[in-house]
Amino acid sequence: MLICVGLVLVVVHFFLTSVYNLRYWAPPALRAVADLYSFPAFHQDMKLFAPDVAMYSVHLESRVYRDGQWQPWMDVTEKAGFDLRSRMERVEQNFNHALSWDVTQNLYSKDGVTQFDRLINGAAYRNALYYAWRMQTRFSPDETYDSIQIRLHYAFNPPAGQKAEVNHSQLAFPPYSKQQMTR
Amino acid sequence: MNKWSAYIDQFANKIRAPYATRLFTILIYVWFLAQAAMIWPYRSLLWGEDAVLLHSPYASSLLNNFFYQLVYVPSRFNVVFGVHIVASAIALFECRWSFIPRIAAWCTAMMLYYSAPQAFNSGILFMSLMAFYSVFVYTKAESSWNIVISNLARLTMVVQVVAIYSLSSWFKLIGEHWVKGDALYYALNIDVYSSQFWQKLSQFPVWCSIITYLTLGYQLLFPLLLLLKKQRHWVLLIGVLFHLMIGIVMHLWDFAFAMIFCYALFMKEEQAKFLMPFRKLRKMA
Repeated sequence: MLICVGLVLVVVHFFLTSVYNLRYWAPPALRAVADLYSFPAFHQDMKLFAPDVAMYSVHLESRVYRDGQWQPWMDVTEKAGFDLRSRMERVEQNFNHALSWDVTQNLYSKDGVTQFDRLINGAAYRNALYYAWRMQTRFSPDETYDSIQIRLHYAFNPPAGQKAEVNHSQLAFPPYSKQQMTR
Repeated sequence: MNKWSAYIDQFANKIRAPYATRLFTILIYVWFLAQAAMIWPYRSLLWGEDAVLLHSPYASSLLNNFFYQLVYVPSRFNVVFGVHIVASAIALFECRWSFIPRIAAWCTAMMLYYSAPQAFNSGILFMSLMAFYSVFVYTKAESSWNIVISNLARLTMVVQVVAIYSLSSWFKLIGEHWVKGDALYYALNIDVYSSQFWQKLSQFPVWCSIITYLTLGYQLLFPLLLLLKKQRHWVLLIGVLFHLMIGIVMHLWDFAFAMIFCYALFMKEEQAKFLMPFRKLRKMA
């Protein structure tokens, strides 16, 4: 009897957590039940085990406006003294990929002018900007500045088998004033 | 029919693969302790009151408020991190009350994850899930009730590993680069995961494609390959080498070891007994 009850529980657990992972194929009512059961205690993003490999390297860079001029762009994490293998670089990469995804969804142009309004109201941009601002404040506390600006620096790799060069490209977001940040 | 009734009888009266299960539960908490050691230098950046991460809003509910508590009370992070380390260390040992430190280790792992998800990969989600299942594992159980629960927990762990391989290979099949065979090529060219030495390998795209397809094939066939009992150790050895490669090439050591450790579940009893870290633990198991 106990074995039967236990097996039923195991089957229900795996059914609901599988629906949670394959949520886009499930009917909304079932998805709601699966979400209620799986999150937050049994949250697992199985897609993380099979990430769609990016065709580029991407880094978050920032610059500050100080003494009446913009300072040079610098890698946010590297400037704080962390190398490419550090945990903080992993944090930055998570922000970069979330922001890159948001760029593909929400960057548009109007009358030939690139529009950032959707992007800068999104969580991905806010997360990246906050990270850059906090790293700047924490690791360069003596540098007073008025505004901060972030950009994504991409290095697109050529398709496999082609001998083209790596193509570098930057996407700079609008500047953000310190007053806005601390308001 | 007799075979099934004998199997059910054994399931209710005998702990299945006690050494392998015990070894795996030890490795879960070794992994948590190693993860805590690796993240120690960054703890105040990730969870402190002046952390560098902006917290995302979450829906208020009893469970959410519990798991997300470091989001709104970051001053508790030292306590939570301390409890996590102590509970994980105690959970290495098995006794009747082991479920208490194991619950504590699981809860604190989830709290730490939810307040800084950007600092982790899928390794912690996998290990946390396994830590939850391990709450029900008691390889010294004598009563039929405890034996059934412990065996069910082991069964759940095994199914979880198989589910992860199956679902992740499914996601790879519906993705773009794995099917085209250039996933390894692009992975080797991402500077944060690779190095100049490994990037040179990407100059041989045919080999990159072959390794990509072999990886995909291994993941797809993993559940079936496990059924080959006589050749299982070769299947596991290939898996260990594959995950070590992820560690060496991509520096994702925490993820690599999370997956390597779960192979303990599929080891033969004598092999697991041989690998038990302490003689005393071996006796206890």
